Amino acid sequence: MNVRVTSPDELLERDDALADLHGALARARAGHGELAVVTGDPGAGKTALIREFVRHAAGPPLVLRGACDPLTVPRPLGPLIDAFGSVDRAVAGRLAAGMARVEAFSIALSLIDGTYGEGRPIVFVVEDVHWADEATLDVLTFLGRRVADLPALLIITFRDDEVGPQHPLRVRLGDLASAIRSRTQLRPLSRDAVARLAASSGIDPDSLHRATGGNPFFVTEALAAADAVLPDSVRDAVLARAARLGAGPRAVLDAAAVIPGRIEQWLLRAVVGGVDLGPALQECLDRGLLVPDPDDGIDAERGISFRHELARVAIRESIGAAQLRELHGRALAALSRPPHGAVEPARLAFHAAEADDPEAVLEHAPVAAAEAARIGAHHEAARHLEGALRFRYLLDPQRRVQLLLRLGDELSTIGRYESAIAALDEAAADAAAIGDVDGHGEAVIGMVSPFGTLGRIGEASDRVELAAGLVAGRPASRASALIETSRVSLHMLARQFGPAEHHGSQAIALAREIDDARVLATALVQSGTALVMSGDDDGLTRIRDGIDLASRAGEDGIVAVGYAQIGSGFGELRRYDVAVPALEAGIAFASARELISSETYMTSWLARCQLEQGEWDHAAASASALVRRSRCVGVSRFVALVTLGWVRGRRGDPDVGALLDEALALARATRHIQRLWPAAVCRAEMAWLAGRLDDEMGLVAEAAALAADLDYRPACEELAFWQRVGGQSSTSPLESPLTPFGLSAIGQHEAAARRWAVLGCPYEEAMARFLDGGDTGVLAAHQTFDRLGALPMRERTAAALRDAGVVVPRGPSAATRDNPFALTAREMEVLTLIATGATNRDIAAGLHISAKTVDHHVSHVLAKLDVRSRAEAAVTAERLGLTR
Amino acid sequence: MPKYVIERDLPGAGQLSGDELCAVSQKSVEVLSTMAPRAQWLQSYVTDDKLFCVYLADDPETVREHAAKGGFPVTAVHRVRNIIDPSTAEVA
Repeated sequence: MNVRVTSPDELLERDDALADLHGALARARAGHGELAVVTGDPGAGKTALIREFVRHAAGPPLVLRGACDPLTVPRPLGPLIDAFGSVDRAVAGRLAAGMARVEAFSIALSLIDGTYGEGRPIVFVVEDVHWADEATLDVLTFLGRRVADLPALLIITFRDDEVGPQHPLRVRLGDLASAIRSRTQLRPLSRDAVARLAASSGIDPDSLHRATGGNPFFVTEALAAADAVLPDSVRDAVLARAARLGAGPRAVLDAAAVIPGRIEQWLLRAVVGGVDLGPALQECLDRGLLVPDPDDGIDAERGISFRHELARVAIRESIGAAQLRELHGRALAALSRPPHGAVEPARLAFHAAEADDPEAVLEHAPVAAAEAARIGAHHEAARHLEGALRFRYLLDPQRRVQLLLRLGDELSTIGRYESAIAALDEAAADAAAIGDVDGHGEAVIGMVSPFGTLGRIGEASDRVELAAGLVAGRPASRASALIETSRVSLHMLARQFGPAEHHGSQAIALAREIDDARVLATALVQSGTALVMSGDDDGLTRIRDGIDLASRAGEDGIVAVGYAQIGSGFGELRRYDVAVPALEAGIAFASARELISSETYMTSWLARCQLEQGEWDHAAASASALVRRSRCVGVSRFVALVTLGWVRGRRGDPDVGALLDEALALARATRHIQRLWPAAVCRAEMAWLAGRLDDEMGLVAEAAALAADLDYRPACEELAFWQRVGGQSSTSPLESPLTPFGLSAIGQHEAAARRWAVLGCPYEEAMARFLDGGDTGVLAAHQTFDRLGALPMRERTAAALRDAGVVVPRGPSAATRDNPFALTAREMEVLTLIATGATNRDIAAGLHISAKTVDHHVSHVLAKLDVRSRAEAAVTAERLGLTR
Repeated sequence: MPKYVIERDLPGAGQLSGDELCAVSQKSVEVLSTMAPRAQWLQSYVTDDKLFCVYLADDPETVREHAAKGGFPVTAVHRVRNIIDPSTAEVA
């Protein structure tokens, strides 16, 4: 019996899910966009749900759809290209042809910001996001962070069983948590629902429900197969239906099975070959084994696809290996000569690999890799190159070296450092074998950065010297310039700023000679940083020149590094007037371009600067958010952990130990003084507050020894300070201190306090006054600790004053007691300045804090005074005599 | 979620009227509703010059955020490690 099953007009047991989506759309129409997530097992009906939702969507909205490819290596931005295919073919073409990453973001934004749709709200659906390429994930995150103020609804669907904790999508979902208000998980159908579907089939609903588990797709396939015996699996159900086809239609089905996603009819015709496509295809369509694409844009011939990816996979798995290769070969041949337009290299590479056609793979995979890299889909680029290198024995050695070099670069970019080193080792060996000195040099130099990141500094240095030996006496080349920039990096890590700057200048000269903007910009930023760290502010100009050059050359990554270097470099020197604005500008820049790791690093440094300046609320909020983000790893995580630990500890808040233990582990993994030093002094300070400084003296000594080896004075002096506090002699000699810690280490606390005041570090200043002793000093320190909310030190200074017979006000700080609106001392300062008519910029400059911090204080003040504007605040303040 | 006991210095707290206590509680609840589910207020003990408040919260910073938004003082934040009562004295 032939049961004809069409897609049910009525969806069962999906009312709640539909209501959620319609609710989300209503919110979006009101201007509050969001991201809705729909998940479920394969066959649970995610696509059917979306289709049903779209049919009844109020408005109606402009609906744009894209799906991620089940290709072995997906096309970069595949779903975005699909979505544009239905509204702006020209843009779709440009995306498919490949472009720079930052351009793609602004194009993606135009999809949801009202550029299309003539005022209608937008619904942008991306299906099967578990298969998404890296560039698509970046774009979705980018859009997700901006959708809240747009009349747009983003819907993503995926199979939750394929998105484990390590899946790249899982990490992005964490980033997007605040944009997601609707999460729908589609459950299997109940027995009753299955019974309704099976109503006129004569099949026992209980057996059907048991056999299918309620999976909607399985149920409909089993019903369509209409066999006396129920199929054991979806696969069997699909194959049972396919078994009834004649030779022609079956050939069409087999041909379709090798083409993932949407199948162009001209392509299908070519792959099927001899069979007359028309009637054979119609049979497949009539039986519902293939379906036409619902909304197929502007194409003359409608594309077709399988009813479900599960069906395609089932058919594909029933085809013999040799036949599969043959079919893929035909697909490749046809796609290589498309009737119009161009075909994305990723598709060509896919069929070439499946056809087991080495020459074709070697032709298309490297092109696909280059395109993916350009758009920022580095995971995909690496996989394409690995695919090509499967046939390395067929490559001429020169080309092999080049592919290995590129693979090493991509692997380094995605954080697979050991694999990168392995690829570059191979490239080096191959290049050496054919006497390609430049290639050999590039391979060796390429290993320096991954070794450095892994903390294997010795091996990194070895590689630099090896490469230098190779290129000695040869004309300037990229390799020779990279050798110099690597030397700068290694010297910087060792805090040897003189040699760093020297090599930096060499790097600049070589980069100019070979006219390589990227290397030149990097060299300017690095050597500028070295100058700054050795006390020469001309370095700042050099860094800025590097940023400008990188900006003009479209090297966003290097621009971000430039801002980060200014921020962290000046931050380490406690020069907040330069560091803070650079960090704020850099964060805005990186955020706009989804340069997540730069943004995270700079945010962690800004939090640290805020901590040191006494802006503890901001520092804690920022650091705490970073620590909770799984994407905050490595050095960014270290800085965030230490900053949060410091604030909590100084406040006397609980939950410090775990933070600092994790920080120490991270510091040890890098083996860099810039991490070991803060880890040691933060732990020492916390231990001292708890009266157990002895516990940390071993670590302090270890860090002090490392600092002494490198002769890095700021670290030597701060560690020596703690050694003295701990009653030990300092590792480093302390004749002429450079830093306030150095002054305190030799007992000159008063001088140290004055220096801290100039730098703008209130807590350290108060500590120095406390250590100096004397009633006036300790009282001043007490008041600062009180204002900052530093409970442990507030109590310690209060006790000292009581012992000395000095009267100390108890209870809430004198500052807040006389102030009925509970403004903090800082907020009072801001209010006083507001009352004088100062602008936010004036206030920021006057108090040496950032404009953003001033904004926060102003909004707190307005809220506490319950007024709407600064003018009202000023009036209220005057009237109540608060600012006298 | 961790549990915290928060000390808030507020001279004269013991003299607050029913209306004032109601207003303060309403403010607290209102702020918490904007922060859900990151913090939960369990109970507060109002003494002569201090309040002791028991909260569930993600971290100490969340506790302070609630306090800043509501205009409540925070003198100290403590982490509750264990809660015991006479039944703890019984051998299991």
